Amino acid sequence: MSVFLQAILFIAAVILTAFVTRSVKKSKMRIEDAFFWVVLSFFILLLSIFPQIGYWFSDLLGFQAPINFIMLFFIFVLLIKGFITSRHASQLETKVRELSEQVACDRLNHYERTHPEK
Amino acid sequence: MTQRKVLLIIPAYNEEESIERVVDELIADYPQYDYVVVNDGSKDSTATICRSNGYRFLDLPINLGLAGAFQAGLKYAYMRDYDCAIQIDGDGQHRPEYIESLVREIGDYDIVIGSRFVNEDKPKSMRMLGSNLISGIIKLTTGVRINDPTSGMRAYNKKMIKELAFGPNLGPEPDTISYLIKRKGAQVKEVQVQMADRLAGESYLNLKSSVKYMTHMFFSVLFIQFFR
Repeated sequence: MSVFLQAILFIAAVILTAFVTRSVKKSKMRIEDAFFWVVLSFFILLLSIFPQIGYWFSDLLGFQAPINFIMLFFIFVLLIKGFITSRHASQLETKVRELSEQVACDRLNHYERTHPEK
Repeated sequence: MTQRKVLLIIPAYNEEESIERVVDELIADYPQYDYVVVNDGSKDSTATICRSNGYRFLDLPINLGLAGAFQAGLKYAYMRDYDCAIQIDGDGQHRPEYIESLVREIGDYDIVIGSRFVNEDKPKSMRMLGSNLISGIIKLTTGVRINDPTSGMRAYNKKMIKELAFGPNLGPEPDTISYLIKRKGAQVKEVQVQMADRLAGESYLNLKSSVKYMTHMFFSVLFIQFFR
């Protein structure tokens, strides 16, 4: 792996970590959700400092070039993350819908309690 | 026969022009049925009209779409222990004179559909081609023939109210009917009704929404249903 690529990976990892910690600091992200990104940037950092890890794994799995392995690995990680995020969004949407319906029912119940039948 | 507690659920999104006519007719001519309007976060004066006329209405804080609006009504029906819930659209398409025939059948069936095509033939149009396709896939997967699967005027009994009042993916659409037949053993009956043209407002139907709707129905009935 070229020094140039190593440098890019290193910088990317540092920027990603800065981004995530800033988001947590500004209360734009929960710590639970920040965990994944910090771990991911740690892996990228590790890979930039010790590119041998990439070589070792791509040899082990029979890839022609380490870069192929690294790309495929991260595509796979992000694919899974994308799926989990999509599922999470579905769950949130369901919660919002259930809540709104409950709010509407409670409003009517409250109204009928405070305005007894004429 | 003991009197069934019937709730008419009237989902209304921006129906300020027609909601008064629809609800006033129900109150004046059909006092034997309870009703509840569901204001689906309308941007117009639908909520104001309901409030000033003293209608019983569920006021959703945000716009949820038909599925959420109808489900809110079902939650209300469930909490108040109704025996039967019927969807009546706020635009005046569903004629209240047919409610009685739906209620009559709900004792023996779980779902009664106010169908345009029990005794009458379907006209030939793109819309009816879609209707036929949905009929076809429901027949294919459940073995039950439903002539008018897209009719919104449906009655549900107590058991179905309980099934539908909570949880996602249970909108008042053909795929839910198919799911209830296939997985919950629902008995479905169709009774002939006439539908009026909408009193005011605009139909949701356009090319984009139709394609989306059909894609959803095919995906849901032909694939997802087997895993539910």
